[in-house]
Amino acid sequence: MSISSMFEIGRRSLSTYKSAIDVTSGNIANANNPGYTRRRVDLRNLTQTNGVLGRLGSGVSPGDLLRTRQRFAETALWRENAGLAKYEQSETMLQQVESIFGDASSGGLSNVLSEFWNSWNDLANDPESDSLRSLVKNKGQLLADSMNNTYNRTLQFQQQIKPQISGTVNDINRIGRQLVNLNRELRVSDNPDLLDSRDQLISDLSKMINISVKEKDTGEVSIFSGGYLLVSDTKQNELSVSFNSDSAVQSAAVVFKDSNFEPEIEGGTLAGMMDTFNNKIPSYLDSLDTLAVNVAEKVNELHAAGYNVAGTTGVNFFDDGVSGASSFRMNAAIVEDPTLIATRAATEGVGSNSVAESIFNLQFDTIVENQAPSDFFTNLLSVIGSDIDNASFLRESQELITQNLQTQKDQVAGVSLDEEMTKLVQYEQAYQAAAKIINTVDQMLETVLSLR
Amino acid sequence: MRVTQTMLSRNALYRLGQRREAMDDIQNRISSGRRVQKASDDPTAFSRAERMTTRIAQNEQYLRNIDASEAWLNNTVSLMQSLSEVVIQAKDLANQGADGQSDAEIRNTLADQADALLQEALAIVNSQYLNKSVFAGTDTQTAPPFVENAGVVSYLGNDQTMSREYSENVSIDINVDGQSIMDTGVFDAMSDLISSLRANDEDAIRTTIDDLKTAGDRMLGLTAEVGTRSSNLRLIRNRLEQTNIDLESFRSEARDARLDKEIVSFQTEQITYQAALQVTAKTINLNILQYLG
Repeated sequence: MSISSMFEIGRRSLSTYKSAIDVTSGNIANANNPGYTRRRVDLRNLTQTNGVLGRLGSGVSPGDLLRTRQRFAETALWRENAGLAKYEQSETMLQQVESIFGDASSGGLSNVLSEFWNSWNDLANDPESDSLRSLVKNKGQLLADSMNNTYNRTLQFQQQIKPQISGTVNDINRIGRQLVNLNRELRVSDNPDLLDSRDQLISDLSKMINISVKEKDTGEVSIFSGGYLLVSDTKQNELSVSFNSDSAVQSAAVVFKDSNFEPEIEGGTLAGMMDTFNNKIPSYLDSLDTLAVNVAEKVNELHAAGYNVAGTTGVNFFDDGVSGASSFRMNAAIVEDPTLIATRAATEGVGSNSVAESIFNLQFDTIVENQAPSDFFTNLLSVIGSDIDNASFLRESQELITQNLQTQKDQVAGVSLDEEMTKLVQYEQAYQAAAKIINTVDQMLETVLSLR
Repeated sequence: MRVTQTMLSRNALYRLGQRREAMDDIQNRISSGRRVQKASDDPTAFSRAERMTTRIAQNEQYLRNIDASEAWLNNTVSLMQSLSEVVIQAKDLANQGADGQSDAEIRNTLADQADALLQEALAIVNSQYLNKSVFAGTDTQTAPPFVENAGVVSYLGNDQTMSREYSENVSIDINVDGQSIMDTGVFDAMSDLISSLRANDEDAIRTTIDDLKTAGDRMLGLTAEVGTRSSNLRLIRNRLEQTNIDLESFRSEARDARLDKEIVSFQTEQITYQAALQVTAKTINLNILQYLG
């Protein structure tokens, strides 16, 4: 072994430990970057085959740069993220719907409905009174306003979901495009930074829609959603969304732009929004319509058969054309002239309250799908409440699952400062020692050169 | 297990966040006094509480009906008592008239007095309460329901009842219709008294004493019957008030926060949270850098 090859060993050590310190400082710099996967340099010893004393070491060289990843936790996280995002999204949206329906203020539907019935009781106590007829008229109008208001605010909220759905679909397409580009780059380079940004994109995507990921050795990925290919190693299938607002019930459909296939969207914020938009809100509005139509119909039936003080009969209390909560309004003739409000049957004197009392008693009758009106509305509120309660329960358990998976992933892929600092000291000492070797070899060489 | 930086901070934040959320929930329940504020807090308890609220509101309506009806019934009873007094006075006149020593002149004066009593009786049965004729059946707006023509009283109202509800399917008639008063024979007896006094017919006058007595007894019977309705109303009122007290306590059980329990759990949470904060503050600062020269 020549002295110059010992120089070479020293030089290699210096450069190896320099790159090891380089990687360590990269790790330290990214200690708080959640999308970063810790890197590690493997040190490899080099051997010299034909040495004088048999096999001699010829120093060290840096091996491959490794990304330390926890593949199982990663894949599981992508799957569970979709569930978490879905329930989170549903919970937030339904809470807003609940605040519209369950408005506990004095103008809230629940209170106004009970005030409406009470006004009929007041009239039944004093059936000759004109001023109490005005009261009944006012409460009727208040009920109509509150019904319209609840319906329209919910409808408005539903409309606000539309741009959010479109926005999410655009985001999914954008991430798809970026992944196709990354696939192209990964085919020619295995730069760990590319892999980090790939994982970050997949993680973002998994929060929007349910996906499954297939990875090639090169790091290129294919992504499937609901059984269909979303991104292949070379090509992307873009999604598009269409809204159907022609029919009475609004609906949104997400399909593949080219094939028109409809993927089953089971997870991610998109699933939460679609479920709220297509199923939850329409069913709540439908119940509200049922309440409005039945109350109007039953009150009208009794009212039209009744007589007012002057003996007028055959007048509807609510408008003839009530076909839902949005068209729920009072008969314009009664708004104009509240004395038309009927309280008695044909043969009875003006002091009789039989009709007013029957209308008051409608609140006990099972007139809305075999339930009393207030029970029906309370049930509607409980249904909304249970929907939120379920979403929030599932959200909490999903949170725990993802939290655990994240911890599992971080255990392997995360950066520990203690570890990196220790390595830093370790590598620095090795670097110093390597420098010492060069120094020593130099002195040896000098000794040799000074031989006379 | 490797413990890494992101893990440390994420887990610390997650756990602290959970404690904070639990404290926020408890604080919310304590300051509102409600365990269930929205349906989503506890759908079952919410719908139970809502049903109670509806029942309570309905019972309050029934209690209002009782207030209004009691006033009406009291007024009716006092009018009927006045009418009975008039009948007693008429009977006095009849007794005086039936006295053998009375002559035509005295009987004529007595007839004038009886006539005045008839007018008083008419005023009583034609009286109005809250702009409604009290004894007109449901024909409350056509006044007056009783008219007198040449000493003969006839009734123009109807014999319908004014009923009010005090519970689901429990209603009571609060009026005494004019026909029932006519049927007691009060007015016939008084008319007979006047005409027999004017005719100076001692036997006829004697007959009216019995008629007036019978009419007076019937009036008393009718008044007592109305009084019974009043006391029935008091019973119903007691029942409704008791029901509402029960319903309110059931509702409170379903949706209100139990302060003692909440405060204890708040203190527990507070201690846990403080401990978590202290531990986090200490561990997050622990790292090898402090020991490397």
